[in-house]
Amino acid sequence: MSGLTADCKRVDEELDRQFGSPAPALSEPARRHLDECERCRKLNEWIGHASSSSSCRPETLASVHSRLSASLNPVSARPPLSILVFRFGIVVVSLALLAIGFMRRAGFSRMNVPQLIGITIVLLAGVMLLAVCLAWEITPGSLRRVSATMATAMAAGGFAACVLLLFPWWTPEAFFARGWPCLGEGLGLAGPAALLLWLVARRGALPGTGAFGGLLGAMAGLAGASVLQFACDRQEGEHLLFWHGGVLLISMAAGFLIAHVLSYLKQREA
Amino acid sequence: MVSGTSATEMQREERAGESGLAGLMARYQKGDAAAVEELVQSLSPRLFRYFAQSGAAASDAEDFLQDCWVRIHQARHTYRSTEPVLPWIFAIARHTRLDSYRRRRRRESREVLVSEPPETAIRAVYSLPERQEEFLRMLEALPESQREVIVMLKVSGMTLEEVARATSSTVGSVKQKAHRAYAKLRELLQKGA
Repeated sequence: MSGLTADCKRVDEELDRQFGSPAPALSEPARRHLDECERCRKLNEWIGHASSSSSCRPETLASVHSRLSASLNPVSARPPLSILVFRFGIVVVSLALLAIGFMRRAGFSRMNVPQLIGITIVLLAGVMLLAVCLAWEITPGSLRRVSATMATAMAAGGFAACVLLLFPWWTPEAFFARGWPCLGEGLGLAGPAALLLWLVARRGALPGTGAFGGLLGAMAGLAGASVLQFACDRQEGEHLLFWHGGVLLISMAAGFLIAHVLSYLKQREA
Repeated sequence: MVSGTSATEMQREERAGESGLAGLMARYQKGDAAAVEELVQSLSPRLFRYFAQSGAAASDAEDFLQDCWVRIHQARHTYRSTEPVLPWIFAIARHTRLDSYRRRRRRESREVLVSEPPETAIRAVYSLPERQEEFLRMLEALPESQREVIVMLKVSGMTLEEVARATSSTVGSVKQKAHRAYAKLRELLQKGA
């Protein structure tokens, strides 16, 4: 067989169209072609193939059953995804409101109305998006519409875009001297937020992966950045992007690394 | 076509029982021992095939299976009866396999070989027919992520959405991986023919 014929391509196209089907049903001309072409026959057999001979020993199944039965207690099913999302969201929002209540609220008076509305919408949308992804992450077999990486990129990108579009862009005086305290305060708030989020998440199936850690860290960082946004009197674009956005990025990276380290240690113990 | 037809029948039989799996899971959550036994009996063959055809030896596949059931047991409260069972089960199976793989890789990196390992033919344990040998050889030629998708789609008989749920990805990503796997497979068949 030197090359593909038009019939070979027809078989390829029909198989391609039926990705999800366990056993593709081919048209009559395609079936006739299978009798003539070894390459297509093999491809079709391979795709329709399911090994039936490999099976586990009955003793293994008996051992599994006795192990599970030994610790069989009734459990309550996890709440729906919407409730999980609500819980994550409420943790971040209530912590942020509480912190804003106790701290100075200079940010409110320094922002104009479009800035206030724009940044509030972006921060809330980011919290919602990350809460949905975190709920998917702790629920095995959930259908994801957005990947964890994409969600964190969207939350961070949304914040950056909002700052670039709505806030004045110049380097403030004492850029570093006035920035460090903001970064410290933001990270100081992200810590308790991460802890509270973890307390809510631990009822799920914790995958212990970087994606879970990154999402949790990003959400906690967003809580810190939200508080800073309304508490800080520096509302220049560079300060917001570098020092307030830094809280989000550092917190996300820390979550990612901590999850990896914990996962590594757990596997070493096992 | 013969093997393809028998595979279809087998997958249909397995799929027919799927509607009852949600009920069994709900009873399992309530602590019903009979439901546990029925679940273990009906799902273990699929899980074993998944582990075995993802490149594990028979003994390893049995270890994975036991480990997987322990994890399913620990995470049983995270299942909701309104959602499909298979993606939930296979998502846990996938984590079991990945964790075991990582653990083994770490262990092997610390081991020092003092002599040549014995030539244990993994496949001899199964004593597979030639056709299945060929099938497994072709699977091994695929990259890990594509192989996983193909095993779930074609061996475990799951739908695109179920595979997307089980692999924590999107339907589009699963389609893309399956497409690439088919392309690679065609290339291999082209070379072999």
